[in-house]
Amino acid sequence: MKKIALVIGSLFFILFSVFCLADTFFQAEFMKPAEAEKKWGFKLLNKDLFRTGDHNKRAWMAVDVVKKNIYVGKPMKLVRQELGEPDSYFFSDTIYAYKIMPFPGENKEIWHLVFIPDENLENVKEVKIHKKCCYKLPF
Amino acid sequence: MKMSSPLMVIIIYAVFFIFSFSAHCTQPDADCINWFKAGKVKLGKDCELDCAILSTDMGTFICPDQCELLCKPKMSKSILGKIIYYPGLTPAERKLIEKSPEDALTAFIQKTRAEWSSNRNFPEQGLNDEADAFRHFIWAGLLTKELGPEKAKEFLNAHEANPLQLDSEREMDQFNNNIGGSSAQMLISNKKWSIENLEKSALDSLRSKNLRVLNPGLKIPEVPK
Repeated sequence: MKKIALVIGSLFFILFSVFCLADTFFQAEFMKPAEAEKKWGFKLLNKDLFRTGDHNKRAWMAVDVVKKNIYVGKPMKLVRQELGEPDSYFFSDTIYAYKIMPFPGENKEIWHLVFIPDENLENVKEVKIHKKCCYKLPF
Repeated sequence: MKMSSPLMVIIIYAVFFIFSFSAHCTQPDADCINWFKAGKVKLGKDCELDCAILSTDMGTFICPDQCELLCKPKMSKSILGKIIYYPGLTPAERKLIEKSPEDALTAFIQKTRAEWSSNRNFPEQGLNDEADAFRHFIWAGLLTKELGPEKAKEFLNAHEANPLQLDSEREMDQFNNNIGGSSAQMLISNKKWSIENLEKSALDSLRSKNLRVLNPGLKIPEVPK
């Protein structure tokens, strides 16, 4: 009886999780703009500086990008044009991702800036700061 | 609560099966779909009214009761097809998910495994680097094992139908997918299949420069981590 309850409970739990997946990402933690500003401070986006690829100088500009939703609604291709070649990976090649801090070493907290496209893969739907490290595989 | 991985996978499949199946309960009757089409009713504001006054016969007398369903805009074929829509899917991937939701789930699970494997071996992973090549190799290998070479290719090609990608990036991914798929087939036919062996094979291919890498520079581990 306990086993059946466990299996049914698990089914409902997974069912619930699956519904949640539709709106969020599997195993993804995002930082709120206010938190990011507290952590890194804030400087206006300088596209030329961002494009140079210096990971020491990108975090505070990333705060500006998410805080002001600078690219939301704009073409994805414009992001690539203005910020340079994406140099990180999040979930799919259709999501542009940029490293915003130097690699701190294995299993240490690291964040990157991700541009999530709309359904047609044309315009930016959301821009978020995503935690890149240290998740656990559930299966 | 400790749950073993195989049990977890079985439960996930069970839930997705239920979701895929439950969609059929809300589909209109096939005869009614034909009746509706023959009536040339247009979807829109007056659809239900126009549908309800269509003439019926012995085979279609139940159809006016299904006008609400018939007038709904065409939805995904299954609930699963809808709920596993993620942002960032290519149009080709969306079509595939609708067509084969169960296989799409397998593809999703194997993609997560490949990302995990890549992250473990290349913690500094980025784009177009060794980690990227490794991830594509592993995903293609796992998909080939789980779905067979033909279906695996269908999912991999759908993923590469990405308008936001440069041609050079697409070529790199497709090249590494092909090598990953072939390596998996070789491991299977030699009865040496294991994820560890697939990872070994990916690292060997990277070291011997048999994989395409646009932005090299990451350190390649000697053995899988």
